Amino acid sequence: MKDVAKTANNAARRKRDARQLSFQTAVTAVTLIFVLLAFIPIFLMLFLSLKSQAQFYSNIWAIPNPPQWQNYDAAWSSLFRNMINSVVTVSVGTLLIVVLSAMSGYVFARLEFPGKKILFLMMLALMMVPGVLTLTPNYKLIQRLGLKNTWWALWLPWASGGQVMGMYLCRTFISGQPASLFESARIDGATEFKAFFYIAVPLAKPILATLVVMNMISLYGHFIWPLLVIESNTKQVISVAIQTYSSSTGITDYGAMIAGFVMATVPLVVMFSFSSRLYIEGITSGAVKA
Amino acid sequence: MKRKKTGTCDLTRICLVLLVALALCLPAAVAVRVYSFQRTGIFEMVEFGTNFQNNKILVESDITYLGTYQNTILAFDKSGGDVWSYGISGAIGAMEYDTDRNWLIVGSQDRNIYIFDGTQGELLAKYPAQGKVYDLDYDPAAGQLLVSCSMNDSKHFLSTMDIETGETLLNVKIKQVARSARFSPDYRYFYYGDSRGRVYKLDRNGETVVSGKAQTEVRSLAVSHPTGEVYALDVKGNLFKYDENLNQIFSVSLVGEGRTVGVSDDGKWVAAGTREGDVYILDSDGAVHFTARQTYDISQVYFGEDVSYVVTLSPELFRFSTARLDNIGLMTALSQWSLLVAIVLAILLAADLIALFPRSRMLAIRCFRTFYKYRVAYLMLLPSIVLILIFNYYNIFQAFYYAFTDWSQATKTMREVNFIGFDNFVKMVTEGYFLLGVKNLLIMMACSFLKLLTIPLLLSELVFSMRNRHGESSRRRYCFRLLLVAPMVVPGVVNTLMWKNIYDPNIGALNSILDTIGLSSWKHSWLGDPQTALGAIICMGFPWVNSFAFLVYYGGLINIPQDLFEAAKVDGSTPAWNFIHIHLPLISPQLKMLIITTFINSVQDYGHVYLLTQGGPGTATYVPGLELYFAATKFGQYGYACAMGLVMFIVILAGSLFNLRMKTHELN
Repeated sequence: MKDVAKTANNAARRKRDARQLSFQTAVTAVTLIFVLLAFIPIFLMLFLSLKSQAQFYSNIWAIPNPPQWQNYDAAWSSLFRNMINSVVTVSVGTLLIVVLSAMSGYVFARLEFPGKKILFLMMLALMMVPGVLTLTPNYKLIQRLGLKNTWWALWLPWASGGQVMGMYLCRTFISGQPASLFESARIDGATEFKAFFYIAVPLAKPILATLVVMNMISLYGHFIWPLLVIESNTKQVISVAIQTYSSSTGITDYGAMIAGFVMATVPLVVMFSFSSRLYIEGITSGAVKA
Repeated sequence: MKRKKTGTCDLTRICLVLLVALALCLPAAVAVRVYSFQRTGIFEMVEFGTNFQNNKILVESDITYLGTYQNTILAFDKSGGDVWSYGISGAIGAMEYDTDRNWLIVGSQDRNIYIFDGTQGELLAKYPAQGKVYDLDYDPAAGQLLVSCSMNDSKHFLSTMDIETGETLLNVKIKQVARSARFSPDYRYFYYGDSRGRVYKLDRNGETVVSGKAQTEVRSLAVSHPTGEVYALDVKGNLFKYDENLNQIFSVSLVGEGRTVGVSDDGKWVAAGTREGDVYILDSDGAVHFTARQTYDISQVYFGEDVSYVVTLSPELFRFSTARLDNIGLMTALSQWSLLVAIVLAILLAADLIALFPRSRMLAIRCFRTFYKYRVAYLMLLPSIVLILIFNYYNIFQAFYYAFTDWSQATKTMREVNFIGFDNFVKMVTEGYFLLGVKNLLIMMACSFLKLLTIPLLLSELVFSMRNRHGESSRRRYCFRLLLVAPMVVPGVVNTLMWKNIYDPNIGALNSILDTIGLSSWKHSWLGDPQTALGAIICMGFPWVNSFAFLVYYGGLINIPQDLFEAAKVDGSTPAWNFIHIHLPLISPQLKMLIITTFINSVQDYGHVYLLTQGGPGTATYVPGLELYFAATKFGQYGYACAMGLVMFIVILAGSLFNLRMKTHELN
């Protein structure tokens, strides 16, 4: 009697396993197709960057033979400076945003003080203000402050605008940290700043990493604002430089143009390979929601 | 109890003493301020001149000559009475004077050089120049005139002319326009500055001796006669000083578009005027001693021995005493410092008054205590708040204000900005470009929502349902999660440009694919055809794996408590039922956030349209953001741009508020 039940049970499980397996295979296959499609522009970019002008016109799908590595020489010599500019400006901008966000996020999550609500609303309201509204006055302000064509023209508005979302995410995340931790720290005589620096910041690492990656990617891609406020090419960031570069090489040397695209991508690849894990954890932790 | 009372009395007494002291000091500071401020306002308006636009001035013994933009030369005596006037057929470009013969030499844009009898106003001679005369300089010993003129956009000449005969002695053809040319103090050389941003020194045979560099187009040159040093002002407002061999000594950058530079006879003072109407007076070391703002373009700053003049392209002509400049620096400093001192004294006085009365004192102490108690919070917020006030709130209020004005490229100073009510908003409706953009924007936005709500959600469900044999989350899940996020490392600009390349009609991958699979007839200039351009922009990024949205959805799904699924399983749920009744409600906060960010981005984003088509072909892909960008940059209609920004802000605000009202399921 017992045996019969067991076999029936086994058969049912095997059947379920088989169904589960085919379901999982289908899921994997569909996802894989999407992944491959999403990677097409990237593969295409790597592939085309090694072609000469003639190879572009003869048969675009032919294997580049011989591979035109000199395309990268050309791109390197005209874009290297801008790449360094981008890395420096974006790093400093991101650092400013993250520091400001962490501080204000902590204050709004953990501290009580008169005027808290008004200040919080003041910052939050900015989320609804589109950048296009302030584009013109901001440009004039930068001009009047004499910051035009300096990197401060990028850093200050970036820090000011980027910290709002960052503050909100940090606040949500830090409110989720156990309050007892901070209370015991206070009992042990830690100052508010110490509690922030030694307890809140280490615990908030995932959200801070998320902020770093999010802001780096977004600042790195900023295009309109640097185009407006930075004039000299020696100070220009890569996202603007790549556009100028692509329109200057666009007709004469496609390979070098696309090699430039690849080069412009490299800094983000390096950054992402170090921080992807923390970033994914931060976003999937549930802090990112309305 | 008693002691405390004495303490309070002491405090009150101290306060009273302080009050008296402050009450005496404050008026003194104010008086110093008023005195020094009056002394810094050295410019006074001159009553004579035209009712139109003055351009150049020249003062010789008793007579003041004014050359106008309206083709007349006017001569006034010391009291401002008319002596003579003469009309010619072009604007007056430059004037010089021969003191021996009492000749007034006038170079005009009507391509002539006129010689007048200075006292009578009689036309003595008229020599043709080779083009519009921009500048003149005169060598009185040799009786030779240096003329800088342009025939057309590409032919420019520097020449020297004998003043008696009108004969051209030397003619140098130059490639760029020379707005200004000057003899060296010994008249053995001459200098000119060109539109390429270079300053040249030539000898009297027309051979270039040496050249120096300015930054942009040189608008004006001045030579200091005692030292032989050369000053050049370029259009970006950079003032350069060179020694006689054009080695740069210093450069100062002034705010505004440079128009004219002048140097005083003793070489101690340099004055620069801008298109915006600012006059800067600097000493010979480049330190700015004085600035004053007028309403109109400054066309000349003329240094006389006693009286100097500032000529603007308007009826407004100003005069100042040259000697007054000597203590202008002191007076400016005094005026600024006394203002500062007065403000500090006033604050102290207010504080003292508060401390004097027990009730207000208690209130102040309580306020201060509150602030001190919560100082950490305030200090940590300080940088954020300061930044936001300067770079966000200030600009927002500016935008609100300027949306109702005619602020544009044509307005030189903020004083000329006029309030025009709702004209900018009416223009949005009547001009059409903005509305055309709205249609495209709505289509794009609908597609963005569609893209947001389908593919990333599907992918997150797929990855979420990946399990190994034991029903636990598998390694595959981890790998796919990473693979789906990885494409976001391609910067937005690069991605857009890459897609532009894919759509390229000649070498684009899309047309090549169509060729390969035998659909050559479908080949197309995807972005160049008004029929397909909008579709191509929307299809960009296929298959629209939005990494961020995918991660957010996925984060919502993995945070759903496991027991909910188990409970549903007991009830015999199907995957579809799970999706509708568990997944969707529980990721609604994420959905809401993604919807609002997508909404905000699609209303204001125009970067990819700018890169792909610039709104073309025709207006097929125009969006309101692009119109705003062009208004703020290419067309210079700043007020109109602000008005469009304001409309978009209202739309976004309405959308955000609506979104906030939507109910979401909050997990506790």
